[in-house]
Amino acid sequence: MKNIVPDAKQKKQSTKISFQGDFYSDLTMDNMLYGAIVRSPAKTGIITSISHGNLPDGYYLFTARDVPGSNLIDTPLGKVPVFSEGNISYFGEPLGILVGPDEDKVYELLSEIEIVFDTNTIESYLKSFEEEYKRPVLSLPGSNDSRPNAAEIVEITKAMNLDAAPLSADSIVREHENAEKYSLSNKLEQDMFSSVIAHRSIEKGPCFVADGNGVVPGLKSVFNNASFVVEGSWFDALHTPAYTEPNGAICTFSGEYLTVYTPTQWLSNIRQVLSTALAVNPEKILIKKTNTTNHGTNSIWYNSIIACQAATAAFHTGKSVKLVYSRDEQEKFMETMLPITIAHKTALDASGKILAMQVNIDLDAGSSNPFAQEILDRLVIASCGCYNPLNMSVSATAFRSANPSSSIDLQLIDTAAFFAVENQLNEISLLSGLTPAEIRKVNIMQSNGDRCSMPFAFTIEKPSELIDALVKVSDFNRKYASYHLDAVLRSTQSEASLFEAPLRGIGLSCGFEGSGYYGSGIYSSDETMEVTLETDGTLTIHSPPTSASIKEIWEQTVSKLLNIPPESVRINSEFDSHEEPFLPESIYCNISIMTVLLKKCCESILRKRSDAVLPLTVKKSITAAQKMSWNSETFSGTPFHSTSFASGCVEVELDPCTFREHIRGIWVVINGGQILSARAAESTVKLCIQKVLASLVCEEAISCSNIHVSFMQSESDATQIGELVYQVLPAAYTQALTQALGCTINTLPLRTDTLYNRICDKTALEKARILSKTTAKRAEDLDKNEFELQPVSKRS
Amino acid sequence: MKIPVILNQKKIVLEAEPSEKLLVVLRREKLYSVKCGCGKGLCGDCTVLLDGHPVPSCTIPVGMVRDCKIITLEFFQTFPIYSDIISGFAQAGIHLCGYCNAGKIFTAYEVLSTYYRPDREQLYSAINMFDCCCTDRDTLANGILYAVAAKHTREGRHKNVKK
Repeated sequence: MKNIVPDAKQKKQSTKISFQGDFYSDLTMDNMLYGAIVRSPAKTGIITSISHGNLPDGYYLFTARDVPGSNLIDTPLGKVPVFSEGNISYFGEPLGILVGPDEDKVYELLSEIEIVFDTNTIESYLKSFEEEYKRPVLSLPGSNDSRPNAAEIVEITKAMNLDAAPLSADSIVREHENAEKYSLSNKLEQDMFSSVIAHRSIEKGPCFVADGNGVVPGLKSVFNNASFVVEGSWFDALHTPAYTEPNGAICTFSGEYLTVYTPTQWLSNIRQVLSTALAVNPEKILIKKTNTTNHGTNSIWYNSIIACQAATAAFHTGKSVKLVYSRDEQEKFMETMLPITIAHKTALDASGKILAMQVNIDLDAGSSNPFAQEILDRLVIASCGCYNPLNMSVSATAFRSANPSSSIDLQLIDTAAFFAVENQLNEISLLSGLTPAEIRKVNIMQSNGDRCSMPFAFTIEKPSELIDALVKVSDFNRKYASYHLDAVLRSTQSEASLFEAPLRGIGLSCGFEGSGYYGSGIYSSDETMEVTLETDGTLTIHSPPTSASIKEIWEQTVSKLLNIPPESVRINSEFDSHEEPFLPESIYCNISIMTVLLKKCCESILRKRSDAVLPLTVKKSITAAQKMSWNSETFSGTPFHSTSFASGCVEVELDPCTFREHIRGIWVVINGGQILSARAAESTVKLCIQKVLASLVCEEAISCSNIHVSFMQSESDATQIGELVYQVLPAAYTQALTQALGCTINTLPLRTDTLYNRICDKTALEKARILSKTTAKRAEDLDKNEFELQPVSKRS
Repeated sequence: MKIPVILNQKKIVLEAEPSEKLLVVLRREKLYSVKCGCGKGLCGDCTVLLDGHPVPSCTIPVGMVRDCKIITLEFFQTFPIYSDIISGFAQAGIHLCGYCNAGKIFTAYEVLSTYYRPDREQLYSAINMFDCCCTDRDTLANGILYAVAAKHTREGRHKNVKK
């Protein structure tokens, strides 16, 4: 659509960044080359050479040694290479970039690249093939000789094309469907490449304080004296399919200046990374940020590496280079969600009050992951959900593995923790005899000044009222009791009754969404809002581009506060390099933080307007006192700027013939403070529900036409509600399935045949139980009638 | 292989392998409203009108479209019904993200051209045909209903009423 010609003006503005309204994949340049990434065909091993015997003119291959600056990029948790330097960390790791004028020819040549491995490591990577492809054991070529022929090995590696996915959500689920039997740490410990890359543990509660005799009772004493103890393991690898523009970049050198067109979500990071890898002055890098449709995922930080890969080729060829990830690459290397396993052990008193929670979190972080520590920290904060256990002990560990980096979505980072704790609450409710709503109300944090034993302070308004509202609107208690009775009857009656319709279930779950996290080690919460009242009476908001609904909300807010028409409000998204937005794009909480800052700016302008000379500029940021409310050293305090709270309910019915679920209804009640635009809020929540439903079953989107979204009335500041549904719906869904099936569903995402397999397992168990009962009875009878039966037995 | 088609009301000959995806060939023709989404015909990002009906171009081999009429969003924008759809979407508060525009707009077109006054079932069966990345189904349904109203207003609500 657009052919861009770099002009002299760009050079003059080279210290600036700009925001393009285009998609980079639609842009072309004169004499542009197309790039494709050469990837490792094995997950371990040492590569000695990468070459193509006969590259046509105009086609080039660049590897780690061609990176003009540093090939290794510093991250908080180690160095990440632009291209692998030979020692392979994971299957599909980038080894180089192949570029040329014809895109189709580039991909044709890509399959002809020869990758030679060090024969000493050949055994290990052939084993990795076996694991990934589930193919028979390969014998080494020339196995009679002690030194196998390298060329033959290359032939084998070429035969193992990349088409067969080594890792997908489906394969993860297949492998680990039964989470009770699965222990990530055990598996990873067996892997010689795994190691702990991040850890966090926290203990809080009276049982960890020494008593009068100087003895610390510890959790064990609480568990020993509890009325009930419930244990469960929960496994989560939820991934939302997003069919938006795949990641990539267009890079071009013009003299000393490097221009990059890319959908970056982290402007300051990409400039710094490009400067390191290309050895270019940061001031001479012009970033043209194109449309970003795929928020979250590894695109946040890995986009900078992709830009380096394209820029390396542009540097050597002197031409523009366009690198676009394929959908397959995007899914495998940018959006792969690796499994999170959470084990819970909970002690309760007779009234259902939680006395202690012991949580163990294992996270497969992939080969390298700069956000591993933050993911762990957020999981730890959310591990007890919105409940207030008297004692808590949480231990979380992130392991390095020979997989691509686990995807990071800063908004959905703690979803797995809510999935685990909410399902655990369901198990507790079954044991304690309280309904799911009651058990939550007994244990939920209260904002009325109750003493909170948790080290994390959240502001959750009226949680009990919100749960009551949900129970009322969804008729939860009646349905739950009715389906529970059905389930009990089914389990006590004959075997055939297991399949009697209707197989229905209903689940309830609660969760919060924290925005403006103060504890990040990678970025600090430096959200700043700058507003200028111009001489002509218009108002300029200096901010990165926002969505249309946020723009509308800001226009209305300013118009209301300063009494100026909404048309006079404009957003200026031009930044100089020294003042470019420092934070990743998805960190800006436009509703909760930026709107509050905007209001403060407007109030300040209102006070100064009569005396000050126009233009009048006001800048507001999060205060130091707010940031200090979180103590990173002790890992306690108020972790978020603001918190929204929601409760959700899912009702399902299983088809008695196909055992496929039909969602009868979804109800969500949200307390997100003041709702600034009811239409936008409802639409956002419904879209989020759609996305959650698409992620619950691998490669299948469940639909529901009966969705109800309600908001609690509140006068407090608006908070983020966009991702709340991710915290509540998955657990409510599995609870509903658990009730309908009569056996615990502890894994997400499901596969299309998961429920059928669970029923088969359950039937087999029932049969075994009946058989064992019958056998036991027979044995008893035999004992009683020994003398009578003996002759019969002898006859037989 | 030479494949004659009527692309955006112009007779042209596409030079392509018959097994190539129509999506790839159209993008090579610099028709960038056709976006590359899922590649499985689910997301609607690559929708075009093929002989007047919306189809995902990522699942159609270009060899199958010989002598067919193809209309992409670039050309569809000149149709009066496009304005009806856009105004309907605006009324419903739908903001076009730019990536799945073709899916949304051509779905609305299909409903508008098939039904005079679509009911809920007809509306949702059309919407459920694709997986929109930026708009929820209820809002999209509202947008299409507003577009229906805009079309009726433009055409004259009572044009078929006997005097």
